[in-house]
Amino acid sequence: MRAIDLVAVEWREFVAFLRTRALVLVSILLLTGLYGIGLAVPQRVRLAPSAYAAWRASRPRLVRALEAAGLTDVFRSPIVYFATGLFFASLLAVIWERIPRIVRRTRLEHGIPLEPAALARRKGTRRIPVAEEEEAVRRAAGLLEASGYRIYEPRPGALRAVRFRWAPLGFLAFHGAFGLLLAGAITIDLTRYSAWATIGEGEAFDAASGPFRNPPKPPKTGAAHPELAFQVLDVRPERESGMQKRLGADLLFAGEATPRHVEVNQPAVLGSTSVLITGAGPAPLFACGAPGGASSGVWVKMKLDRDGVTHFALPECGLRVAVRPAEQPQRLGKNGQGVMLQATGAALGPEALADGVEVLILRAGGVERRGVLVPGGEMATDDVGGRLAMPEVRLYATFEIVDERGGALLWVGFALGVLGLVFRLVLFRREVVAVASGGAVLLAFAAEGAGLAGESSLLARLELFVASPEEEG
Amino acid sequence: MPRTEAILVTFTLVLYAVSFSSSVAALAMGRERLLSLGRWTALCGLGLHAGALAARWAVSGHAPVATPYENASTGAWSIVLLTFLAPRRWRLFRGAGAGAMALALIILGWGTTGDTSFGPMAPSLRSVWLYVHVFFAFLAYAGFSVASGTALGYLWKAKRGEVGLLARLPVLEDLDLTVFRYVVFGFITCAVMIAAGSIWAKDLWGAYWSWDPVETWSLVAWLTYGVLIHLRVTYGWKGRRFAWFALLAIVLVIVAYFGVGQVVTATQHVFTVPEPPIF
Repeated sequence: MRAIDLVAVEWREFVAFLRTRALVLVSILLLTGLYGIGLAVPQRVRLAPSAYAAWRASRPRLVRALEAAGLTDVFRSPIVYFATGLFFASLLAVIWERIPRIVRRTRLEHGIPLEPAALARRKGTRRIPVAEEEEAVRRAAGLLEASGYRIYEPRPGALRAVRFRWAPLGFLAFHGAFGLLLAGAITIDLTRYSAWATIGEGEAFDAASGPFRNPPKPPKTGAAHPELAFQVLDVRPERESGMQKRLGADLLFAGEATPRHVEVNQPAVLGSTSVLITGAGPAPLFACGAPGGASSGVWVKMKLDRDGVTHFALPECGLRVAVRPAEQPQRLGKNGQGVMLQATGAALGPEALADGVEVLILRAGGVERRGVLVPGGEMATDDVGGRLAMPEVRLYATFEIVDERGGALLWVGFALGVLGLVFRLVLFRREVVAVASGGAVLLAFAAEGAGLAGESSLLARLELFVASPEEEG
Repeated sequence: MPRTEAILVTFTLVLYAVSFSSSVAALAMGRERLLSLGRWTALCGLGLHAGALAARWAVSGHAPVATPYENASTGAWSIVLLTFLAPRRWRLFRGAGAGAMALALIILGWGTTGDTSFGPMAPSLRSVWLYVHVFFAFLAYAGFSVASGTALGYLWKAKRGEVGLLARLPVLEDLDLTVFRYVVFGFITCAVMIAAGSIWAKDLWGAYWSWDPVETWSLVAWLTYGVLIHLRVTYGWKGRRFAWFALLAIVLVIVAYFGVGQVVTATQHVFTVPEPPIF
């Protein structure tokens, strides 16, 4: 045997192994188990770095072992990639093998054999004695056609009736949808750019230069960042009974004449780029005046988190300052979150500073002076005439900028998958065969999915109707 | 809680309790009248429950799907509704009515012991995808719950046979088919729930999938039911094995809904009640 033939044999055996039912099940169970591990074992990407470091310090051996096994980042671990690959390879092998069979099953001429001898041997075939057998089969055809069945009658006295003949394609649609979802996920993974920016009213953002809250995450392929620039015109948090109700902002994008409004859940979408608003807060202007005549000012974006203290410096006046709202903002739930999904859209408006801002003037030795500044007010920073004022308050917003491709594949995958499921499991193929045979009609039924129980009344009527035409009514 | 809703919920709980007691008594004593009483009180409870949900919706201005109490109430309502939506010939109330009423009572009762207040809908919940996601979540979880309850009935009857109250249940073949139908229903609606949640997440968090614990657990539950359907369709699993799997798989759903949010804190799906504002 030639080497190439040996390879072909090996390949065929490998593909046959891939499509064994046991392997399909094992791959699904393996993935399920690994995802389950991702819930049981703390995942590095989901923990704060300090929390992860503390856990690592408290259980060094355990954490090292888990890290070595890739279980602390299990969703991106080699074993999950292997299991995913195995699942899709197995899926592909199964689909490839099934395509001809499934296509055959959509044809009316395919199904339960119409030869009387074979049909009589078939388990579940019912024999109904009749006087005029061909006439009885014709009556059956009429009843089945009226009930939505398509009739295939290759010869007088033999028919196959099929309902939902295209339903077998649901198998291909559902399993093919996984391929689309995988393609979409890979495309997104390769092309995804994400960045976070905290921008005040009147300030501008450019994806090339920022300002960024953290270093942006560039895509694995393609341009380092999307072509995107905008100016924040207005930030509008809205509260009711002390609780967050709405959060929006008006943005003017480069090259556009009219501003766009973004809200939580309603990002601005420019091609493959989305700009999401995720939070907002007050950004007061702190202005200082030093005794020697120096003066300076800075817009300070105040932190939102509970007990959050914001630090800033005014070097021209030689000041280091810490501030926080005099009145604590609405208490949020655990982890700074509140009601379901509150994490996105947590925002405070200027009313958060209605009672003023607690101010600490810091020196090397500690706190030199403390006071409360209300909007429009000022305080002394030393005993020789230094002043710190808060003349104006504006708002800032936090934005997430995402650029990715492949989302359309996911949408199509979702739609195709659900359609496939409905066809495969709800509108499954039903088949009825009626064949005249020696003074009787042989009736046989077949169905996938939940079986023919839903058609029981039709089948009962059919049997009676075949036996006696008076039963039609 | 609005006064009208409080009154309606109280009567709902009473009716569900009467329905549960009557259904169990009907099975125990084999009295058709008691079963009929159970069915009618459940139906009246369902109507009052719908009224309570509508009253809350009218006062709060948003669908009752934003707080744990609202989710518990709507979830309990969905379970009872799904029990009645089945075709008459399935005789589902006879087979799973007592279990469904018990589950609805527990979930609604648990919900009322928590914070039942409401406020404006958070910005993150103001999305049409919330309704799609939550609607299908209720359908899926209710479907899996009914499948599980019916599976319990199947196993009970399969073990003891046609004796006493078990003779009042539908035949084993029908129970088995009902379990499969509800598993399929739950599986499809769960798929839509996950897809809708993913699409919503893209608008809300900027990513279709974040491996959030609740997301992951829902996927695990969905995959597990997928395995169950595969076992049925390709391996021909029926009867006890299938019923045991369907009965136990509900644990995953319970953990996905109630458990993950309680145990794992680093989740975007925070199922907690907001503390009252202090200014």
